[in-house]
Amino acid sequence: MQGLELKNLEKHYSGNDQPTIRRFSAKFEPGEFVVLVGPSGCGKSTLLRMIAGLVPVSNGAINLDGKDITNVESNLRNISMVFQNYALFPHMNVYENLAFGMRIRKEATQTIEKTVTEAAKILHLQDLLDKKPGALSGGQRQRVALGRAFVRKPKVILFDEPLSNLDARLRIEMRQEILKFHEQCGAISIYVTHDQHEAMTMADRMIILNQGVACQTGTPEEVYNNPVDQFVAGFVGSIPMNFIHGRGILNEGRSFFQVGSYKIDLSHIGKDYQLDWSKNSGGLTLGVRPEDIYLDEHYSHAVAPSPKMAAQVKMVEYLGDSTIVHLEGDIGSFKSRFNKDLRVRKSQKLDFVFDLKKLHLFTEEGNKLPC
Amino acid sequence: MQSEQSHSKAGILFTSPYLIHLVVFFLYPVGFSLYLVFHRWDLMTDPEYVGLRNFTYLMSDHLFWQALTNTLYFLVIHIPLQIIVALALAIVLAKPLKGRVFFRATFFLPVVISGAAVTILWQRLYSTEVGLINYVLSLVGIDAVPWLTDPGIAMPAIAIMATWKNLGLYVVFFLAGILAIPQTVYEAAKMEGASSWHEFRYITLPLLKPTMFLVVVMSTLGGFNLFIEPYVMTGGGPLGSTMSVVLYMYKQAFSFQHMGYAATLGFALALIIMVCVFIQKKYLDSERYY
Repeated sequence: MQGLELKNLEKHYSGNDQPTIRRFSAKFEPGEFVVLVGPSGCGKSTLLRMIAGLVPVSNGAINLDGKDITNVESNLRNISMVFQNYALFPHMNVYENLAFGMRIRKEATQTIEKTVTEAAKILHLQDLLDKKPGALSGGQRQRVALGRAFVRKPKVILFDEPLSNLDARLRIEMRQEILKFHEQCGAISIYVTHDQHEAMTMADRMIILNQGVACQTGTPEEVYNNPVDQFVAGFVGSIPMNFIHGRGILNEGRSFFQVGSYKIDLSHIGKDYQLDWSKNSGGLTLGVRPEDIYLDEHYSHAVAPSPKMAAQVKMVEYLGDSTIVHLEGDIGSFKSRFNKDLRVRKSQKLDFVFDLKKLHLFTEEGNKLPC
Repeated sequence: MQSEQSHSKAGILFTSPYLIHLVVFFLYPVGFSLYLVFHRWDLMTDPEYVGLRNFTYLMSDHLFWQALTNTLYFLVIHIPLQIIVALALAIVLAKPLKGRVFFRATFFLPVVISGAAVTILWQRLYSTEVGLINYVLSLVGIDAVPWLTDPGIAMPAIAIMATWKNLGLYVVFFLAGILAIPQTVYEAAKMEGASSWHEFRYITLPLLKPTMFLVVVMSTLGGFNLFIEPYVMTGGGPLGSTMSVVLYMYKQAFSFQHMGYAATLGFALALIIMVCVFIQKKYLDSERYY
């Protein structure tokens, strides 16, 4: 098989009861840009280092283009890595940084010069070749780090949170540069980040990691619209999904979600829940994205509006392109994203509806119920 | 106005302990030594003005030149030995080895032991009759080496001891330097195919240049001040082979009561040290990266 394949990878660190990575399997096609995303400490950097050969694998196998590279030295894997802090050699100038690996491998001076010049041209580093990393800006250093990965012509490029040291504006610029660079390289790019916004905007495919386990793999749209569990639902989305805790009840053969004095007929959500909720504790969590909440007067935008509910405005965040309103009502606290033109004041009382077609239902354990 | 006055009073009060110390233990002795440079003084009679005679004598004093040569010989052995051993130990101790905290503490121990105690200990180790070193050598069939009584060996023997004594301090310096280099820089090099030697040669060593400069300067300063070791172990012998500049200065002052000449030796030594450090700064000092 062409591409990279990870089979049941595991990493155990001595002294840790739980493995850092648990039975992780994934396939990466050539030219694909895959983002590994998860909260801090979920094992994503460890996984990247295992692929790089910097951390030994406890169990499982790594195959690249059909060849087992699990125990191959990192420099012989044909894999490059871009580090979070760039890891440039501070005492060498940009040219020497780019040429370092080729010089170690004793490649011909002409080849080195040609390759470095090519990389410098692609990454706009021509004028910086004799400068040391200390004299470069964050973005320039990042480009040198990309250049160092590029000159190896690798089959896989690993990115370990490469934008986390840059300011917000530069981060957006560099995202585009990295994607352009990825296209020029044609390699498999595996990009680690804890920033789900970065993941959503860059990924062909994203893998959500939690406590060393891959929770979900899919395109950003799939993951956003159909999260497999409450963790993924809460993690993906720049404003997290609202979770409303209530109970499932059966009334005259029909299932309802009850919170406070409100009852939502679950048959509207999409599936006919003919479940006997009394068999378990009946605890349920309703997930609703901030943009799927509508003010009562705009309910016609909702495909299937829920019963009208009341809440009070606790805080208003005006973002320019939209307005985030923090609300509190009988159903608890939640956030909604409204049109930028909406003018609401703190303490104002509002009536609102959910779009029932876009709700998510989770059990007490966080598993998703089919919708 | 009043508060400004009380502020300046408070300032003077707070700095006074340091100022008193500076004047009594630094400025006054330096000033008095400078005065002595132009005088002959035997501690008993009044100082007698001699102009530049102490300097002209210094230039022709072959014992001074021998002491200076001895000191430089000591430095030539001591500094490289110190750097190589301390760097090697620091590299090993920077690795995640079992018991490294114990070893780090153990190597530092000689630094905090008094110089005189260490010197007496090594005098025993070097002894031709009861010395451990000669005993070990005898086990492999090597005749006893007269470590401290052979003029050709005495100074290297002292240099080895001085290296052992100060090693811990320089290991700590190098260790701090090595640990300041981010691990990812080594990982990046490893992924490019760098061997352990490449990592040392192209990363550790160049990035340790500032530490290296510090260690060289400190060893030079310490080396030029070589005194307690030859004073206790050999008294400057055999045949003046371990007579250091400071020991010679001490003897001139307190054995022969040539206070003026001793002060001149002190100033000459300070000048030599300044020149050496200046040269070292020119060739060794570099940018700090971390």
